[in-house]
Amino acid sequence: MNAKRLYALVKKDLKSTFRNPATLFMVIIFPLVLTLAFGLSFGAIGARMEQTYDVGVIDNDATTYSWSRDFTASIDANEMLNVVQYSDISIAQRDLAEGKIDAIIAIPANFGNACQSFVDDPSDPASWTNTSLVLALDSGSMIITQTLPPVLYQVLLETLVPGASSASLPVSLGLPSLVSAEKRSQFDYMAPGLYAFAGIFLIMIVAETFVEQKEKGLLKRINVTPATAADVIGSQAISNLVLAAMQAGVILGISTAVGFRPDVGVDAYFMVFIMSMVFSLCAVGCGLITATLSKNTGMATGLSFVFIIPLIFLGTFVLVPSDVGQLVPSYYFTDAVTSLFLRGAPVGSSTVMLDLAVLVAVSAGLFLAGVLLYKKLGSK
Amino acid sequence: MMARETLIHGQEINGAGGIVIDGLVKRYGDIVAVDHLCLTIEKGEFFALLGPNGAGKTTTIKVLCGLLNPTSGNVSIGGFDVQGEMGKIKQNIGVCPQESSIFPYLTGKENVELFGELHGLPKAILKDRVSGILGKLFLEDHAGRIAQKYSGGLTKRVSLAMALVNDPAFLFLDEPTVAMDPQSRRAIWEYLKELKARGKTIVLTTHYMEEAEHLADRIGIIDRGKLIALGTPPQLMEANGCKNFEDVFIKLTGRDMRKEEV
Repeated sequence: MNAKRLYALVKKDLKSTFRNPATLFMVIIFPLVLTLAFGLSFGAIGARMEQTYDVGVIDNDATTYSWSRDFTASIDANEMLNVVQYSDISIAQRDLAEGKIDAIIAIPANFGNACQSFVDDPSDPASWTNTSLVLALDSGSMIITQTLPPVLYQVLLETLVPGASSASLPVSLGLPSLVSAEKRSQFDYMAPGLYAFAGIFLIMIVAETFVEQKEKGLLKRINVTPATAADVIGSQAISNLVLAAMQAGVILGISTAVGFRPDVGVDAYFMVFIMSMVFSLCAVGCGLITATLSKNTGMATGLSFVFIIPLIFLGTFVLVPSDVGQLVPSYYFTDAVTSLFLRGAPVGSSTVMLDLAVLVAVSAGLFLAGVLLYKKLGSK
Repeated sequence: MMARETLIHGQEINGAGGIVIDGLVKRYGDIVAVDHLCLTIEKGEFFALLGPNGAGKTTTIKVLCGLLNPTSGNVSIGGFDVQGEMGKIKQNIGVCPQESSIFPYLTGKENVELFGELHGLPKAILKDRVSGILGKLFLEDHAGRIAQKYSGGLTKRVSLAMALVNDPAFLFLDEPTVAMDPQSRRAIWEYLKELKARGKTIVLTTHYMEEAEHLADRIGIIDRGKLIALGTPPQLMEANGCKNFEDVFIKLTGRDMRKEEV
């Protein structure tokens, strides 16, 4: 491959894409309108990802000590947490399930005795009255499930031993029961899938571009210059990387505008852009395979849906069982974006890295298969 | 019978540095598109290859450009073999194909620039070269418009400009003036004569007899893949006892309509 020729061909590809109303619509306008329409229809406007968490407190303390009230006040004083008092556990559980609160903490009947036994003789665990706080958390957020238990324990420690960073206590946090909440808008769950959805249509663009250039004799024309097949295919790959990044930008911008604002760092957004570009290689590969099998542009459009339909229905915002979704590469892209944006997974987490690894492997495989097949049969 | 140019032309031609086609055969399954074609085109010669539809003209041009591999035979351009040294040949050829192959969503100027860039022309040279060619082909007024909106004649002129931007030593023109009005055609003829005067080797296929007669040093007539006549226009008219070249063509190839090319 020659850098100057690649640059010339990428320039040509991008200009052709943006000046052709049909491809411009599929690559940019369609995802833009779709994201906007879904955002408006499925109600993300006004909703924000939380930065504080509502904790339902059920105070069952039957002792005369004030420790449960002190502990509740400490929770409320924490800038991450808001206390919502409940007297009925079933109402609290219903509110958690509906996403009205993020966690429930049930203070046991002997909580006051346990705390007082610790304060009376902190150095003699044998004299303590041991007890356990009951915890229930919204399983839909990795931030809540990962962050709340240690924060609550820290609040408890601060209540009993002000200024301490660690100590053994007679009160332990019970294993949290995870409750699936439905607090987010439907669009919040769809938004991660839109990134893959937009990229999937690059398959059609690539297939149509190659077949049209073949039909019009443009590929032959390039073939009589010093440009090589590697230059032509390489330029397609690069221009689609650029288009994928632009698509990701469009979806990010529109989804943010309509209210989907995940509380994540720049690194998560950067990872989504990287994954968009990796996924575009998969689209180029599928597009080349489609172009190889197509005799004309109409056939390329139709055949491209052989790839497009399963990739959309098994791997984007359409909810299917994950074991079926795992058959298509778009699933891994969507799953990674969901982990980053909805579950609060760090960029380096094993879930995201595994998704990225599978996506890279499958995209590289499909790209190579497309290139080899097209070079062998499609360019004839 | 194999037609050799020396049998018709009466003298050996020195093909060094030019185009040498030796026993070229191109088959598509059972169909023989080019049948043992032997031909030498001198460096700096303007050669017209004529023939009815399906005669094998375009197939021959495609083999010369490296778009098709010959079934058998040898072809060299400027001393380089088309089967092993196409990379070197591509640096020195310009091809204006039969189809109006230009990128519809680039402007005329961008189409020409693209081909200059693919040939690796430095920016400064490219700029001068493109504006020069656009001027020669009377394209300046249209060069900034998207090519999709061009007329057939305009498209052909841009296509020709794309073939010329690398200032090739060898130019292959497959029916370059189809769809052009007489004024445009005359302008192209004048430019092609200028290129010939600058030492370019030009191979032209055309269905316009007066075009071949007006421009070509020599004309070869090919039918059913075989070279059936070769010589200067006056030689061919004299040899066939005809007063104009179209009569020569009809006399040699017959009056029957032919199938389209393979």
